Amino acid sequence: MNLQLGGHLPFYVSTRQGKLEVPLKEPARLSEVLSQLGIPVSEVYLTVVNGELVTLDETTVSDSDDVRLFPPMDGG
Amino acid sequence: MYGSNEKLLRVNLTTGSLNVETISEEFYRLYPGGKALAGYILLNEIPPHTEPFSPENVLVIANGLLTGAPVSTATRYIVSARSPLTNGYGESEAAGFWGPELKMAGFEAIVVTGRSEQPVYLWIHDGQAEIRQATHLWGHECAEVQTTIRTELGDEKIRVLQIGIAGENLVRYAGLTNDLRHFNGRNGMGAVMGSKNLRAIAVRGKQRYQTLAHDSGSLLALGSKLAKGVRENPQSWDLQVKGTPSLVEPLNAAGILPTRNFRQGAFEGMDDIKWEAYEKQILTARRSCYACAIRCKREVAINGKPSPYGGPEYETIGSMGSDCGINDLQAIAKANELCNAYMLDTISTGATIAFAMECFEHGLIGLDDTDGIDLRFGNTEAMLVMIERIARRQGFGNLLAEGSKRAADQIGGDAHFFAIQVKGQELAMHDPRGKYNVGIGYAVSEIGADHLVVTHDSTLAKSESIMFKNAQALGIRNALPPRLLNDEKMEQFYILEKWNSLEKVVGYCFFGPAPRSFIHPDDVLVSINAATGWNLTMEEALQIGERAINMARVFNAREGFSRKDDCLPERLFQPLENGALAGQSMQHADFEQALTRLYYLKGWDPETTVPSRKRLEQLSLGWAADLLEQSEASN
Ligand code: SF4
Repeated sequence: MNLQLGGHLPFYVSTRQGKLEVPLKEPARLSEVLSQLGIPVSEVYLTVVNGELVTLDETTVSDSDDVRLFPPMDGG
Repeated sequence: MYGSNEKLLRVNLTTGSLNVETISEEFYRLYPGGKALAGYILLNEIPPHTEPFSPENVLVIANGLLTGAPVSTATRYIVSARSPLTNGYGESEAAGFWGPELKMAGFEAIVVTGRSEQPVYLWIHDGQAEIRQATHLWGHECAEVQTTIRTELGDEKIRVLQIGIAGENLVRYAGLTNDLRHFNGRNGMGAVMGSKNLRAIAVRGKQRYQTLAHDSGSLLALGSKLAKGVRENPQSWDLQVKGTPSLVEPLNAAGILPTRNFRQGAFEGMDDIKWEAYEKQILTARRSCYACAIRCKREVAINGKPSPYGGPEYETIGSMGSDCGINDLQAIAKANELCNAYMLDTISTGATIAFAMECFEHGLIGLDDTDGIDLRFGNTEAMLVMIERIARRQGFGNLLAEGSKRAADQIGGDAHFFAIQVKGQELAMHDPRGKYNVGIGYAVSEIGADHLVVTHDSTLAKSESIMFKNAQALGIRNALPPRLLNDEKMEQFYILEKWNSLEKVVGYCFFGPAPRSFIHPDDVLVSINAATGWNLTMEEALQIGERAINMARVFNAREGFSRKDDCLPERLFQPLENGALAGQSMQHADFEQALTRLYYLKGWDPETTVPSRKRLEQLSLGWAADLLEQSEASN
């Protein structure tokens, strides 16, 4: 799975990089994948899978998916 | 008194007099710097209905209570006067190094009245001040002026606050800059300074903050704890690594990246202007403000040439980029450089050009009006040329220099529908159709559309998030959806607005305190109390913020502002054309109902929005109620 982390979300992965390859042997719940990676679901505001805005809790992903996550953003 | 120099410098440019006034602790506890001090002076010293460009307008430049303290983000000062853009209470804050330098030079604030016959600048150093002639500086770009002043005064470390050519030419959204990289952009404060023939204020001070503080040990300990904490909090880490350009992609994904004059919320050219493109194409270095460990400022090179004016922030990428339909990051950086060299507010400049582009595309103006410029969305060259012409008030630029509201009045027809402004000030690059409290903030803000009135809704939408948990210290109880307006949302607004107002009084940059960033509200109190020894509670701190808001509101009430001015552009009640929120809009009835609820919480008359005498007295502002009554009696 191709995972891209926007805004402050790379803070939670050890490399602090926004682009990750996450191999998935079989389809999995996105929330579980994130919890294994150490990314708190509470910090994810928007989930985009293959260009579609989806609800994180209801989403299952597979290895071929492109997943982009964004945190809530304030002003600047 | 601890934490303060207790001194205010009064400058009368008509007579050339300079006086130092002492501030008492009793006074300072009610009006402890920044927005509160400025509000008090404006309300008491600007006669009602004073023309913004007349010598009687009073320009206040005031440090926050903590500006210059050795604590990350305690860097800001305010510039305040009656605004030529809104005709109401005006203000604009900036970080950088100038405010702390003023503190080290022995002053808390400068109050400028009158008008000099010839261009002048002020030179303030170690408790001394003098007015110097500036004819040789007039008409020059900001970088040249800074170099000239430092050279003639013989000190490279002098901090220069200045207006640019735009302020000299009274462009209604001209701002000020310090160190060429920090900007009091909004509300036309640079034009007020220009109307006084005051080009710059150069400052140098050698005092140390620690000698002023009540408990400098605690302040230093907090400062070093915070410096370490920057990289342990996701928001401040993000500000350090990416800075505000980090906002582009998430806001686009959320469908609220203002695009083509707020018609759309998603920009097809977003990949070309997002952070990754910025990093690859223009970024050269990261910089900071005084004693700030976040280091969110960006240095850039434009087509390989280093810019002396720093890199575009998110607001500029939005206003000069997506809002004008432009996806050329080098051109956006160039637009930023031009605005900063002439000292125009990048938000109002970009938004006013976007307004003109929409008028052009609808045939309300043509090539005859624009001096032959093909002012279509996406025309990069046209945008860059217009910036020059606005700053110099040349041709069609002279009309756009008036701001979108006045330009729309001149153009006529449907043009007013395309002017995306409140009280005359253009919206910042945040579309409230995806975060309703930001819309309420745009509407009620005394300075016209401002995006820094409250924490943006989405950051408080999840109860487990770090931002929400930090907000609980302010009394926020429940996480609420961004696209909701109800009584509880207004209660949150009421609290958050006071908190942001306090930041403007204290001099914290918005990227310091939680919930926006990493300094827990309790630590904000620790810093205030270590500096002053006041033992302020959260309730008292929020009351300071509320007092400042109420003075600004009374100022506007006296100028005839009322509920009809607390409105939003009609476009926001129309559906977005594309993106994640395509088809969505704000609703008139919900918006009006929410405002009524909010006025009730604020103790303001819902018909007139005038603060009640009772509320003003609760805030120790009985004198402001007297002023209002006197002005009503004389009308
Ligand atoms: S957070 Fe950024 S703008 Fe604010 S004080 Fe620090 S470096 Fe300056």
